[in-house]
Amino acid sequence: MHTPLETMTETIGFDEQTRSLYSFDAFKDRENGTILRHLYNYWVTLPVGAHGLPHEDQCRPKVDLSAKVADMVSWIDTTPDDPLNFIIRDHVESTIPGWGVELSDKPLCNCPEMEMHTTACAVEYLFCKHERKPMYHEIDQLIGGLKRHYTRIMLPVENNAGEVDRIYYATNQLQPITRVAFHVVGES
Amino acid sequence: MYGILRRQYEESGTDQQERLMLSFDKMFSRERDTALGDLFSYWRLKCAGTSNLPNMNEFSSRSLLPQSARRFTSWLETETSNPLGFVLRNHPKLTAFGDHSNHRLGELTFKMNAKAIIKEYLYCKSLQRPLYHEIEQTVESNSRHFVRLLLPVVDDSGDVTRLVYAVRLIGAAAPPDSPANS
Repeated sequence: MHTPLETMTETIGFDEQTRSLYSFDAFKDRENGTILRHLYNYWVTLPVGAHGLPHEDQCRPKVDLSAKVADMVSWIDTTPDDPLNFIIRDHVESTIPGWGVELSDKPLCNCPEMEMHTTACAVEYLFCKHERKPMYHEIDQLIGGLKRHYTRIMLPVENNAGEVDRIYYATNQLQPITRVAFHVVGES
Repeated sequence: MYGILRRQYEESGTDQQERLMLSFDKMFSRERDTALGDLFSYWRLKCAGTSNLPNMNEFSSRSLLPQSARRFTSWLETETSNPLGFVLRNHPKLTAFGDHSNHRLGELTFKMNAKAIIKEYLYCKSLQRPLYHEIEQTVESNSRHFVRLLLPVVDDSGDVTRLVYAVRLIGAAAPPDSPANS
């Protein structure tokens, strides 16, 4: 049983989320055999670029990995200075309308109904970019009536100037996504 | 407590914090006779009764501010879009906070706090409206409990390039040189 390095719980009305940052020892124990581990194993074996991270030209998980893994890999374009303008690329499919490939090529701030989630993501991507190291989170949330519980690995790569303008990520659903309905006691 | 719009609780080792974003009904009732209340009144006056934000020139000198708020007003330069590059100016000179004046947010060593305040500053800058928080935290064995008023101001092109803020310590820990508690 691993204790998170950091845990953040946030509540706005009926919406709530808990986001926990875990160590990489925890990641290796918890994600053995999962798509996240396959993606990490691919990333960690890439040649290191001039500034300590794999170069973005060398990191091509969508091409190099099996379809089973590649289809679950997305990335964040972290070129903009404002993290709310980071752009989602190759978002994976989802059974929930509005939460799948239609999120691709849009900035994080484009989803105001998910603001609690996208703002937290923006800060996590910002710190992954700033600290230039992979990060592993567990996210448990109920937002807009949708319950999601999953883990996520973030893997930064660098450009020719050594800047992190791309972060690859994959998620592992710990529970199926479900819709939650609220009933106020006393209502007819 | 009524008036809680948003609650965030975080833990990292022995460090912990709770951050409540409170309504302005709550702010008005709590800060009526404090430096934060006076600063908000000044800011609102400089909105000139419109939805436009005040120009940063109205906050360019402490002599322009209400007397009660002058010592306790700080600001964050937010010209850059990268919040790690926001610069703290005139950081509260209260023992509870340390002195981070002229430092960028990216230089703050307490990451849990830095992440939380970046979210709040981004929110204030993008919404372009004031925010009022109550924050209780234990950071590296130092405890502090305070409220903070955050006020966006703009440059001549209408961009939010400064977040003016004032804090008020709450409780027994409030030293004599902090804004008077209500």
